Amino acid sequence: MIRNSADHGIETPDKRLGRGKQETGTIRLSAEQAGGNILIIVEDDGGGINREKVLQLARDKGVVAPDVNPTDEQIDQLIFAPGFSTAEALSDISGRGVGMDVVLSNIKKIGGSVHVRSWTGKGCRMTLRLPLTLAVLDVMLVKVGESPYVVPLSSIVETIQCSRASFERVPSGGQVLQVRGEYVQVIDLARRFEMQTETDPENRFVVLCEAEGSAKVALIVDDIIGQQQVVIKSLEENFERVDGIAGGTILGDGNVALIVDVQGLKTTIVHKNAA
Amino acid sequence: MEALGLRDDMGEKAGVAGQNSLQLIAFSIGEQTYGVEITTVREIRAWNGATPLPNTREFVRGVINLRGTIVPIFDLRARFGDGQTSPTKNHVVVVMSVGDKWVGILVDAVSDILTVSRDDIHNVPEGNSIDTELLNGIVTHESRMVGLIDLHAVVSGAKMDG
Repeated sequence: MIRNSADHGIETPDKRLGRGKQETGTIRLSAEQAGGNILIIVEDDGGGINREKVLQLARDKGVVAPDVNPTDEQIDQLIFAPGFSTAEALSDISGRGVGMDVVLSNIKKIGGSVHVRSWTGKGCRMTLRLPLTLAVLDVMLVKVGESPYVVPLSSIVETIQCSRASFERVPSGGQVLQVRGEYVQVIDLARRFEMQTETDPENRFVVLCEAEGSAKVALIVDDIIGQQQVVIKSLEENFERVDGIAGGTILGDGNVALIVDVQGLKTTIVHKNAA
Repeated sequence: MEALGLRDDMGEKAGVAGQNSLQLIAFSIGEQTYGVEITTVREIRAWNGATPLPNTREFVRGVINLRGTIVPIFDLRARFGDGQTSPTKNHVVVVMSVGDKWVGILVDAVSDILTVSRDDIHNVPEGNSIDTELLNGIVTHESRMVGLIDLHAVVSGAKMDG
């Protein structure tokens, strides 16, 4: 990103002199803590984002429809759109966008965000917001069969006892859950993970989760043990990705519990239905 | 050809055992003895349960906590297509490094450390694909046949197809 500022932000010396600035450009890198986040700020006193050019390019590439007039701020955010990632795409003076979509997707992956603010002719500031604790997760500890699993607390909406939940059958033979007038896809984790379960269906629990894009999914588990914080451990380090599992963690008793990948579970089911 | 490749590979690491010999950790599955090169073995521990991994093949027994790292356990008997081991406290997990990964192999017992000559390693007879796929070679030690496990092959194909 710093190279991006140097390559595309800072203008040529004569152009800078012409704007009444110092011949040498400045890029400031700073970091601060704000709540549970760390902010990393990259600031330059270059030309800022050339909005006309970005918008023109976005229109050419079909990222922005011809009849839409985005605000300045929306245009600035366009540099993170995929397709703006080649240096030739924008002029070498004030155009920005060398792989910025990659920057954004990497930061999103660890739960952060990027914001850009630009002042034409004066400079540009990019703020990276990263969660302070990358590896610690608030979770609900549940049991599927005899195995411990954890569900990220951030995705849980509520938990319901199966005996009080109203399930409805659908033609595929599966079930949907009715919650306050809404019908929600049901995934029985024991069946999905091919685990033996001897729990009385009435005594099992529904964990209602919200996946990305606020789509809900109801996971059925055998028991709910409680809430705790865990440290995320990678499964890929010594093994490989497992469908429906986002990683592992080590519980207080030394056993390994697996982290349920709510989003992943939902998508694989959708794929199976489509096939 | 595979066995030849193995010898070259091992020649770099064997140092301790001398130019032409090889030290193996021997372990048993039922009546059979198998071996892996001693330098790949990181530790040997008693079976103490594992957390099952969903959507994996039957020879993946799950994962264990090895001092804060999650390590997968492969059931060698099941890998050979002989059904899952019913592990007891007397069963043994041999933790080894395969490339840059650590894996555990569940076996019945660890029996011995063998020193064998490189020249005594024979190719696996063609015929059964499981044998040639999972063994690097065969060596005779005190008139017992010891199969040399190809760890890379053992740990591959762990995911369920489809």
